[in-house]
Amino acid sequence: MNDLTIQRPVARPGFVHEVNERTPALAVQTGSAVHLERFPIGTTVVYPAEPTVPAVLARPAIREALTAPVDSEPLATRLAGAKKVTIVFGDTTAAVPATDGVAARGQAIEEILTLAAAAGVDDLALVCARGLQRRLTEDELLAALGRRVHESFAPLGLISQHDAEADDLVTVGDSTDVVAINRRVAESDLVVTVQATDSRSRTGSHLLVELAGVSALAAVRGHDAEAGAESALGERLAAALPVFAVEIALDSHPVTDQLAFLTRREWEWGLKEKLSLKALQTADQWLPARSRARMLQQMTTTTAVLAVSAGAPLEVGARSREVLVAKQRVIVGRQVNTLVTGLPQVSAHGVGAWLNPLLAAHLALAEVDGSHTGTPFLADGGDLIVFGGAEPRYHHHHTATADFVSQVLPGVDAAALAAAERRFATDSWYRHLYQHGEAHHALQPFHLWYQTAAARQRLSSIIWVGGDRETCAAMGFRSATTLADALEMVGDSSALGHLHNPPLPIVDLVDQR
Amino acid sequence: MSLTVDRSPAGSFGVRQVATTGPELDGRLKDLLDGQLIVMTGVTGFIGEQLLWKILTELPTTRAGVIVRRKGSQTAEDRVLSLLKKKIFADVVAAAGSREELVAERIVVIEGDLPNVPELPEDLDVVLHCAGDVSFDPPIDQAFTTNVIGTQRLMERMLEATARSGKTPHYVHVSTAYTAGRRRGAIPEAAHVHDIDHRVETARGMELRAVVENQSRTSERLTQLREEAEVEHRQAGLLTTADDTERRRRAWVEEELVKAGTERARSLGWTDVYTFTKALAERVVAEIGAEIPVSVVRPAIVESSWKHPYPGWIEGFKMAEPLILAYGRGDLPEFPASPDSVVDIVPCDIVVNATLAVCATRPEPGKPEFYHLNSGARNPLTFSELYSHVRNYFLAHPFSGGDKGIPKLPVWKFPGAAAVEKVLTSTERKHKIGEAVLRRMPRGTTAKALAKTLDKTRTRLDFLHKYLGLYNEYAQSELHFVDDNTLRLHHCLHADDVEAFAFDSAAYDWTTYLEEVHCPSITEPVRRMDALRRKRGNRATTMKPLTPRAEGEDTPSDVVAVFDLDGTVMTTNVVEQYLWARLPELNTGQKIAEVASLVKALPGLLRADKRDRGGFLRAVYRRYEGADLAALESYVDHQMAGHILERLAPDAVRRIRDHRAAGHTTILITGVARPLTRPLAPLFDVVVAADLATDRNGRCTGYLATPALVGESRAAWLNHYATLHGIDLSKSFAYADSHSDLPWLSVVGHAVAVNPDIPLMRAAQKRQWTTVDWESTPQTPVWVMPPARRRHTTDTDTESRDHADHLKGE
Repeated sequence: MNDLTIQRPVARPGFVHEVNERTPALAVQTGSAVHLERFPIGTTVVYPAEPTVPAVLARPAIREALTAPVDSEPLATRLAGAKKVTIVFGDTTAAVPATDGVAARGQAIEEILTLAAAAGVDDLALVCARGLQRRLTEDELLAALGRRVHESFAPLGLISQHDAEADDLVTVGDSTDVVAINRRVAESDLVVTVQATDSRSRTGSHLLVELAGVSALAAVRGHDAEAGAESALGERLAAALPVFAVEIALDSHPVTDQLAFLTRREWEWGLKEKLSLKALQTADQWLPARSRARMLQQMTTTTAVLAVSAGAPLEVGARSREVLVAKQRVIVGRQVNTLVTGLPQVSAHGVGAWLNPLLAAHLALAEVDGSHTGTPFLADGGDLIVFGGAEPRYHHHHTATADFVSQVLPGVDAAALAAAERRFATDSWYRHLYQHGEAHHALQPFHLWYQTAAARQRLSSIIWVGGDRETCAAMGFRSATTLADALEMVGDSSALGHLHNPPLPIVDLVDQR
Repeated sequence: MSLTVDRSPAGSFGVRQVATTGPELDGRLKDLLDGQLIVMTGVTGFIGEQLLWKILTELPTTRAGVIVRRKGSQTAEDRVLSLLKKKIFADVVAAAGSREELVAERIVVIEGDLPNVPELPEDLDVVLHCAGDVSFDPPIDQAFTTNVIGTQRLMERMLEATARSGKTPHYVHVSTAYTAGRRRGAIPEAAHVHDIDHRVETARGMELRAVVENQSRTSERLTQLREEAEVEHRQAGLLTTADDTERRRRAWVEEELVKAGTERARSLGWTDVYTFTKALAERVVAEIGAEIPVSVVRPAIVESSWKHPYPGWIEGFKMAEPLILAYGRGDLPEFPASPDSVVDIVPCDIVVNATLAVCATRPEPGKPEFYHLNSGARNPLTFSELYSHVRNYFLAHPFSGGDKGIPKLPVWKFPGAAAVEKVLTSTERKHKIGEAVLRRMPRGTTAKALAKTLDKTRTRLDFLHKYLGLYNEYAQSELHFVDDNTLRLHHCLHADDVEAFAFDSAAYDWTTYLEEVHCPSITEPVRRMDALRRKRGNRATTMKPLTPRAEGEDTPSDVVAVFDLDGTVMTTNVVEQYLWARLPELNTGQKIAEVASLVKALPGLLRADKRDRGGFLRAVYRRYEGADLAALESYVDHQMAGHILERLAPDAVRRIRDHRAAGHTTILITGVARPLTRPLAPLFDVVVAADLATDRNGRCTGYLATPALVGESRAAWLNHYATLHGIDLSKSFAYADSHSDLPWLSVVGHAVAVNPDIPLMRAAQKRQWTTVDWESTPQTPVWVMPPARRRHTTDTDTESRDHADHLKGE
């Protein structure tokens, strides 16, 4: 193998630190605000792995994966027999600031196009599998695909975005088990999915699920959905469609390089880092909300490719997941009964918009609480203390979320929730905004809320530090002003834990597996 | 009689009771007036009502002939019947069986008014003239008509009637003690001495109306009034301005006539036109009644009753009430009165009793008898005593004040008229400065709070100006009305009549009268209103909650909801939208040039906006010349939609959707160009926007296809739409944000002011419209433009060549 790697120090893996007398105040990052908090002695702090220095070159790895795929014939062979090929790429909802440099996804698509041209395919189109997320703007498509791909296909109108509410969806699958999916994809001879992600929940058949119609998506994520319904749907679609999956496992750096020290251990900070932190805190204190949001959204960062795999979707997904877990897994000895965490500025479901209370709740209760390999870090009946993100400020991408939090949630029970879900699903204004505007689908807030149900049921209380009281009360949370007050509100904080994020470490509780 | 030092004005002369001679009462009043017909005017007024009651209850064989005017659709008979509905008549009505029977038995209804007095019944015995103008500052011609000419005609009719019957009538004239004018010292019970010719004054006074009307129609005056009206209403439209100009002209005419009356009275030595014309009427009475028995009764300040029909009986508010109530509310910080000047208050029943006793007398023909009905001679109440009694009352029984608690009672120090005047002028000046600041302030909560304070100060200043101007004279008078004649007549009362007909004004004490009778009586209706308002809440209620329509209901609704766009549903303006459409296509140099040209044109544009909103819109849309309309529309759909949707107020969208859910027709009326309203089109059933005119190739000419709808044109459109589609505007809703939208907001039944500017906020407060704040917080700041259209390098595509020309560019 061509050794093109440059000698650089390897990023250190994550580890567990138990707070003692010499531990300085730790940085709890909540978007643009960074709080320095002194934790009580004995707190279990889980640090994530440091961001990977980019070493693997994307293009050779992609070529290799395409010629030697997993559980499938090489792509060139599969393209040879196909007349109508569709390349499906994922929405760019990677919850990080924008990346500079050439997108790995774009490179993969270029390689595929080269092979397709060689195989003589003339009917080729690109579909963005956005599911119930919002439409992408031209700029976002350009960033996702790269200039060359975009300029080849956009003028001819060959880049389309999947519309889950479209009237012309085609059903696939066995006669008993039909699913309506995107017309172009259903009628293709070969579907090549290209996914570049840093999240282990977006691997495997995720892109195929995002091509389904709104009724199927509502069935697997809605009120009456069973656990594992989504992966079952993915398996059905993988079996029903001729799919060749290409997946690039990424490690995206969560903050821009100037602020990279925030992901490192606090006791290794020097004078320069402390001054940078002071500047950041002052800017956050004095700038108005709009400027703060723009400041973060305009920062660019880098991504490192961890691995590239191609072939059958489910196996490829398993491989990517293995690599991603291995990157961020931290072995922890014991569970805690109170967990303190901050939140990143951007949620995967709200790129380009400021964080709103529902997205913050989803980040805390689905992502942070679900960041483990089987047994949660926070024991059942424990308390979760969250910093930041509960200001009731809604972007016009999240019109439905604004109405959901302010009108549906306060004092709602299961029956009213189901009725509201039906009402939102049939509303014509929300539909218009999803299909032609830039809003997420009206069912998105409901699905996000259901994903937090598991955590809300098993935890005894969820306390928001610095949140808007009314909104917290509407969602059933409590709110405190400082960490000290929150700890006092908690019943039993004998075993206190803190997940240092971003990036989010994946907790592996060895002894209690 | 007490042995203490007699400090009353009468007592200063040393001699207590001057034994005057005069007509006496030899018998009980009901016998003296047995079977007689007393024709009276003013029965619908305060004193007249009690006079009627007293006649009906205490003089069972006397009939009352009442001269009553017809009012609107009510005949005189109807009015008398509704007068008899009052509580004090309940017993006597019950005794007669019903009101109609009572009228048939005891009352003769004569329909007519002053000065068109109708024929009077021949068998009249006494004519009691009690009517007069109720206000102190009527226009001069009205004062003369009612008080002088009216009296003259009444007496002429009386003489005609009695000429036919051969009886000699007794004419009793109710005047006022203050016909003394600006004299000082002791005023005797005799005719006032002066040499004013009442005929000349009457003629000249009546002429003044024609003179002032002519003056009001000169072009200078009309121009001035029109300009004043335009300052306020120009943006609303020409008809509104015209209406306001005419209203101002009429107000100016009335003002000038009032001023003319006041000044004429003052130039001849009276305080105001009311007392002046009353004094002239006394002359008329003496002249015309030279051959018949005439009595003139002069009450001072008549207030609520001491005993009859019940302590504290009063109808309406008289002289002292507004001041007492204002003091109780804490609104009267000082009063320009001399603390030792006498406030000559006399209870109403004393006046009534005395008047009826006078009716029963028979003076010598040609020698009119004068009676002063006042308390100041023998039972004086000084101003400082009045103040302390009223203060004691309110300290013990304060007003409840609502959610601000009990108002603070001012402490008066009587600094004198000059000091009070100084405080008033300085407050006026501060108010003017406040108004100037308010006009330059941007809309917001501070501006609203300042407007509220200024409005409150304005009402208080207006109240003080009006009442202090009016009562200034009375509060500093040093008049002392001698009432010996009245006392003499009181002592002539038969022993059995004293209980019912006593009228000695020294027979009660002020503490009891003011603190236990008068103040409780006049504050009672105010307390009731306060309690009612507290229960009901003083909320404006035009923003009604909406209920969604039932499933399956398909009948078209007759309700519309009309929305304005700029500032109401969206926080943006046409200039900003033009820049969004224009700037993204230009490179940096061209951007700077475009913005510079707009900045240069901006003052002109703002001036045009102030003058005429339509002109402003036309000026902005000229810049769209050469743009490809179809390309503009597609640009709006793809690139600009995000910007537009971001600036929508979420509360506005919710309200629009609630209207939709309730089945109402939602209408958007705006001056914004139609392509720019495309992202909002699904929310509204009808969009009325400015249409850009295009030429054959689909390029904008820079002109509008139809005039932009602003101000009154929107009201006209709305009315026409409602007629065509069978809409009930009184049930419909309208939402707008600026004063120029007032015409069409007034057309619907439920108007709501959204983020209003100060003039609209004041108008909304006056008309009890709800005011709401619909905010939007867009994430992208103002200076960020929508993304430019993507330029593609392939030129085989014909579309790509034209895509960049959606606005005039290279």
